[in-house]
Amino acid sequence: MAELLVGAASALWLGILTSISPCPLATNIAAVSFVGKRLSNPRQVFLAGLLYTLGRALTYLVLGMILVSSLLSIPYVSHTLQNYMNKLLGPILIVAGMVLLELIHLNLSGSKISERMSKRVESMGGIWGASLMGVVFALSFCPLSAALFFGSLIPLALKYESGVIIPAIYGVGTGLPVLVFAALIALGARSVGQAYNRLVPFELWARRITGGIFIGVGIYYCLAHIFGVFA
Amino acid sequence: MKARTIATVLLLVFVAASVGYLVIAGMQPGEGSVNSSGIDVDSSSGHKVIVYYFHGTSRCVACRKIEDYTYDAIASGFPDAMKSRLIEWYTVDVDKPENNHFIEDYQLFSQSVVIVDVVDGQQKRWENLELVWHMVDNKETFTTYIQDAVQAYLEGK
Repeated sequence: MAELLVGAASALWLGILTSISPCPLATNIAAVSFVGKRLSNPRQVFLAGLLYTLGRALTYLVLGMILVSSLLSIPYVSHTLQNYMNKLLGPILIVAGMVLLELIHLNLSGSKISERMSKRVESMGGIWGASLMGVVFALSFCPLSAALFFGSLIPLALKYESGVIIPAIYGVGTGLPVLVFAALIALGARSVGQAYNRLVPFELWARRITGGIFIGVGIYYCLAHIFGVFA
Repeated sequence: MKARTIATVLLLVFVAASVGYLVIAGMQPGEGSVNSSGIDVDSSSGHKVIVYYFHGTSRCVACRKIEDYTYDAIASGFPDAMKSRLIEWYTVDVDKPENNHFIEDYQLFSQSVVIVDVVDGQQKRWENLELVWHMVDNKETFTTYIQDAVQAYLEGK
């Protein structure tokens, strides 16, 4: 038990190390701006941060289970994810940013969803979108996060014969900075809201800033990983 | 309103160009050469140590640091062995089709430094120096780690 605790602490540290390294910085900025955009509802901000972190944890848990049970080759999975996810991430982020800025619209009118239902779906989509973002960002490995996950975390999981707990704790560690920021934003928004009671205009700007950041990060990813501009 | 339309069109064109480039680049056939990385496969008799730095098309700041530190460590630690080709240094882009096999050959999960012991043209053993990623912030420790590994291989330990 004590040994597993040491393993869990090491996994958490590796996760934190991954999250504070320079290469996932762009996606962390996008994540923080996304979870923080619902300023008028601090509870939703924190919940979005939590779901983002859980999305990451779930992704690494599934990957860990597959790799520890030796269903797939570690070099193959690592190389495939590094090659394709980063390339797909750019266009996905640009389109998501355009939706946030309302440059393009997701038309739900064709379905039988009522307006009230549409608003509800949009509201829940925003929250659950955070967990989906956690999954996508977790799969977008850069060389450093690949080295830490495939080279240090998976051997650790194999050593402790824990293909579930250790990768999940690593995932929590990688989402921790975003979760902390979400908590700080939620607390800050609550006190500012109590003082001024006018967070709705700020929320509109937060949404625009988030959309702008998504487009900026998306363009960076396209230039870096598709066109090789910074190679 | 006009600015929004222009921005929308420009962004959609950029997304379409990115996806198009991705698809076209993915369909390009490989160069097909077996040894275009310049690696001296057919080595002469005797003992030599090969140090590889494996990278992909995308390079990060830490990746370039690892490459530079590794080269500096062997060039400054073993200048005579480098000159006599007792130690050989190669950087290899594993995203090139002809170098793809190195990924499985040396179990590469990221950009890596791999050291190989070659005796009479035969690969005897190899090691992925995985700790480079944990030492990249300390050049002194990094240099010692690389030089100790190379020294051990030179001595056949």
